[in-house]
Amino acid sequence: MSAFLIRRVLLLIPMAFVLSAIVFWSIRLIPVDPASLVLGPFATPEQKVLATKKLGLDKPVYVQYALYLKNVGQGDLGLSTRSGKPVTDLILHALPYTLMLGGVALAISYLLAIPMGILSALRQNTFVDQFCMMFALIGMAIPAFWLGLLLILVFSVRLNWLPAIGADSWRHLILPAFALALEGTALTARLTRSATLEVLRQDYIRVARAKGLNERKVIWGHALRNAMIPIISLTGLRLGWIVGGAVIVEQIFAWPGMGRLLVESILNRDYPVVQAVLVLLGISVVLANLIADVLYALVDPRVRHASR
Amino acid sequence: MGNVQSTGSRVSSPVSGESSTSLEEPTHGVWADTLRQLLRNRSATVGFVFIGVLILIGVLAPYLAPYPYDQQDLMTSLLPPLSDGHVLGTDQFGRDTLSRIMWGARVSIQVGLVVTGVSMVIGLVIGCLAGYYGGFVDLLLSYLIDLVWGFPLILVALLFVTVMGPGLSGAMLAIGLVAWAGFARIVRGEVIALREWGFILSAQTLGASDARIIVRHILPNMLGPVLVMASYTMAAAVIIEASLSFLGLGVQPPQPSWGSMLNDGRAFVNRAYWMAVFPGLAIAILVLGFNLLGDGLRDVLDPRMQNR
Amino acid sequence: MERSRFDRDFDRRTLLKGVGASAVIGATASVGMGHATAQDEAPTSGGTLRYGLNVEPRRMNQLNTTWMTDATQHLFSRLVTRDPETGAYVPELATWEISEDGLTWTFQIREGVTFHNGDPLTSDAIAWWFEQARDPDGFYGFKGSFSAVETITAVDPQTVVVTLSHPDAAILFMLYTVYSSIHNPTTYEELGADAYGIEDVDGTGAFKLQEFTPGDKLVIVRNDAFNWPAEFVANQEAPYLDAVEYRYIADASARSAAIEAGDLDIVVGPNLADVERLSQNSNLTVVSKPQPACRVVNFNCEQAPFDNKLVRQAFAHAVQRDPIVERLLFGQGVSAHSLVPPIFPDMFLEETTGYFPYDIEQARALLAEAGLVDEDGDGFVEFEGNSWEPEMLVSTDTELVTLAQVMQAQAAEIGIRLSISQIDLESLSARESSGEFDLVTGFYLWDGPDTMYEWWFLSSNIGTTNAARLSDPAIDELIEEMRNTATLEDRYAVVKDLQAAIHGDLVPLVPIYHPLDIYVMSNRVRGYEPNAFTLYPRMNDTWLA
Repeated sequence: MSAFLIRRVLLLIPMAFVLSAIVFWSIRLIPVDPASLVLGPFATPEQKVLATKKLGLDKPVYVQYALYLKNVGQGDLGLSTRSGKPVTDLILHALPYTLMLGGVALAISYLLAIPMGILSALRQNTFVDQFCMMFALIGMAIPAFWLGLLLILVFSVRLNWLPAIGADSWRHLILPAFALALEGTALTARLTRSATLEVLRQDYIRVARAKGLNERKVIWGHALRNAMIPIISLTGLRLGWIVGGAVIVEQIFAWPGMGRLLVESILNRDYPVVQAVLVLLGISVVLANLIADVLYALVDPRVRHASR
Repeated sequence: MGNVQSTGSRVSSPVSGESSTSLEEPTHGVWADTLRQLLRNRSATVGFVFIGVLILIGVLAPYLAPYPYDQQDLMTSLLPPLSDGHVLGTDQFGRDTLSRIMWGARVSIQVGLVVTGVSMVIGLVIGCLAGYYGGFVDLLLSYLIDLVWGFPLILVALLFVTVMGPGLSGAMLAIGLVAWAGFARIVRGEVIALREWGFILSAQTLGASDARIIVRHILPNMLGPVLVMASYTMAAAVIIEASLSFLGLGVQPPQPSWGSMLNDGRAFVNRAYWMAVFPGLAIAILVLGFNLLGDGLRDVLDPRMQNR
Repeated sequence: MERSRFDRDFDRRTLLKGVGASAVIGATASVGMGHATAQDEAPTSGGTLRYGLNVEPRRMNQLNTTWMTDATQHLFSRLVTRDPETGAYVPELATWEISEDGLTWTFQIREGVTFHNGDPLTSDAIAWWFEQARDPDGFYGFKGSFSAVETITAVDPQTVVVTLSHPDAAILFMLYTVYSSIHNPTTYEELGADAYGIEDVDGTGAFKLQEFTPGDKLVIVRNDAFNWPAEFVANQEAPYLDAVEYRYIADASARSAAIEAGDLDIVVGPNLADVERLSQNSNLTVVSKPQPACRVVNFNCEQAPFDNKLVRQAFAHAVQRDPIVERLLFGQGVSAHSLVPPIFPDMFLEETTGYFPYDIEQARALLAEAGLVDEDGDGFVEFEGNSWEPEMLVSTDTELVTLAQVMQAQAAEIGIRLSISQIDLESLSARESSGEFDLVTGFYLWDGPDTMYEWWFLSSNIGTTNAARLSDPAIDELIEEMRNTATLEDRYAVVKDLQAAIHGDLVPLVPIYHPLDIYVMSNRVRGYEPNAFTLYPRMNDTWLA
């Protein structure tokens, strides 16, 4: 087990290199000139040449990459071409917002989804079950950006209950968190339902029931505890989904997190920021998947065998 | 958002070590039987109808659409539904919403097919190679799968569009190039299971070539889970296309896509709800259709996944 | 319930009435319902104004960038400013005298002015600024505007004398823009050109920089020492507001929603489709003013067949502006026939409104004369026997994408099949510079429309600002003449000649419309009065009720 773990963790290092190289090179395929970005719309060609030199963009790409790696090694991610601020500062500013939004969205989706899923499973094929599962299916089909827009229209504009944009208080968090949570809620509810059903069908539950144990004790004491395992271990995977969703949800709600930082930087060709954010998000997604796999392996020894 | 794996099918891979896939080669009888079962499955039928109707509308758009999708008449802009000659109203240019939705179906379906096709082929090849050869090949490919798996597709699409400029053809390919990991994981698991059951070994001793074994024996056996995955991938692809077009990076105007129509409608949501409601509905129905079909296929083709 | 509401909104008569109402708001610069009573109330100090921007704040060092944001207007002062009523140039930090021959300018600097860090403003800072601005190795974006400057001398602590090699009336205009904001040289050099404008700024404006978090917010706070506004400002002391907090909201609908929800006090550039509804909201005041701006379609004058002016003229005949303004802008704009908006009567050439009226027949005739006819009967003309599909570039800006689509439909009416390529701004400017396009939608936002003729049509600016790639010796000559005028009247006379030649004959671009600047304010905002002569209104008189 520990050898498996160590190998997986060590693999993260080349992974980070590969990711950063892919991002670095692909961004530099773009035939535009970031120097004009610093200078603004009326820059002259001479100014651009000067600025290009200053940004180090006149050197061959591999030299730029080597320099970049060297700087990253020293904890320096470079300066944002758009704002001139250190990329590290921008990331450190945005990261807590995304963690907050993602964390709350995750919490909402679990708080809604797990009771829903369990209820569905316990009342399998009843109206409650069908209703919950229909909700889950529809929830999966609604794009987050559309939901976000509707939430703003209803709760901010029409009802005036919650602020539409910004990130100044916990009230600002509610709408984006719900928009981000919907898809996860739908998926987790389905998963909870199936995991619970599967556990209920296991032999030890049948045995427990046959032994005449109190039904409530069977369900809460045995079934649910075991059903939670796949759900909890899938939390890692949810990070990728949160990151993907955050890109668009943060844009709609003007939430100053990593997603918005990324989209704005992409739209503005802010190389150093795009690079750093993509690599960081990539690594965290990979890391989360790793955690998910490890949890799975811990929970279910068969997997270790099958996956290596 | 927009993660193929977020459709919950991830669970199928870690447990594939105990695959119950039939060792029999499928015969006509089996397929006819499966089809009958599918038709009896409510999810599958409803999903099939949703998708079928939308595909038909897309294919027949040139004959069905009452107006060319780009025919403008500024003097009849923003007409509400059921206006004279415009069942679903008009947009800000006076273009017919219904006609645009019909033409837009083509984009969504095309994207779904290309993305799923590309990712399925890549996933099958990589999954088979990894599962079949094992050892170092498996180690390397599994590593690649892990790298790509769980990486938010929308980020990849964004990066690609950043580099290549807006437009769908490139983005579809890019998404396909990343979305294969879900297929690969499933396929690899299935192949390992088949191998461990001694099935492959017996074929090898009978003198069959590797390629023959893979094509004749392994592929048909994993059709079920792969089809299930394909259906979910179509759903994810439709959402990603909508997201890209929503960000203004997808189809080029005046070509309609549901996502770009939603994006246009966003600005008029207080004046002309129909501009965003109907394309949003179309997206939801198509995605719902693919998810329902996926559920149905899974119930029928992948019995161990029942009730998931 | 919902249905009938929407139906009512779309009753044709209601709609037209609504459009008419917004147009009235647009025509009179600062009419606002909540403002009518503002005079009677005594202003109160305090409070933070929350301001929603439609353009992201970037670095605020105008010596090395051409980006600007509302805050730069309040953080810095300039030597010269303009009276909001008359547009006349009036003193801000200095009075000036111009010698008879127009070659010697003497600036007398106002006394008692201090920078944010407490240093007094002296002639050295002004002289330093001029040197920076014209430094050939510097990053100042408007060096060319000061090319006539020969010597700069700080005669005494309050006097600077600038001599020119030839008269240039436009210098006064340049000195008034935010790009001529005065900085404290000491702070500037301490921080260095890159950090200055991001980490901190040191100006003589009514507000000081407190916090700048790119991508999130920008906060400026009252400069308590400030008592040197221009004469036309009512409040001659420090501003009433404690602070202004700027937020950038990319999406127009989100901006509208934010002000409706009470999250912001002022929003610039709400969603056009929402303006009518917002102005009916009793908690809000909508104020529009004509923008010194124009939306245009540029031809690539080097690219066949647009190198033939007949083809360009034909296109101009195909453009219908009124439906665009009425239906797509909801009345929030003015049809454009010249780059100069009519709000600049001194330089606007009236006759331009009669140039190339909508006329399909005439357009087709011109195309035929240029050899572009539809021979295969597909409804579209061919060029040199091949089917012809010119490519129109457009940035991802919603308004321009909308414009491009209308142009596409209008061009189709005369048999030109346009394709649209929507690309990001950076790629777009790259392709513009290298001339790889047939048409491109564009715009300017600049309160000196006369200068646009130099930037956009001077042949030596091909590859940079001359997007239409027009190279015409007569135009170059006119521009040279314009640059050498001693008085503004002389200059404006040349600007009119330029308009006649550009819009009446050469048609390197087709002006489509002048947009309006639309401000939506909550009713607690008082004394904020947008006017035509500053890109952004001042905030010294602004207070929160």
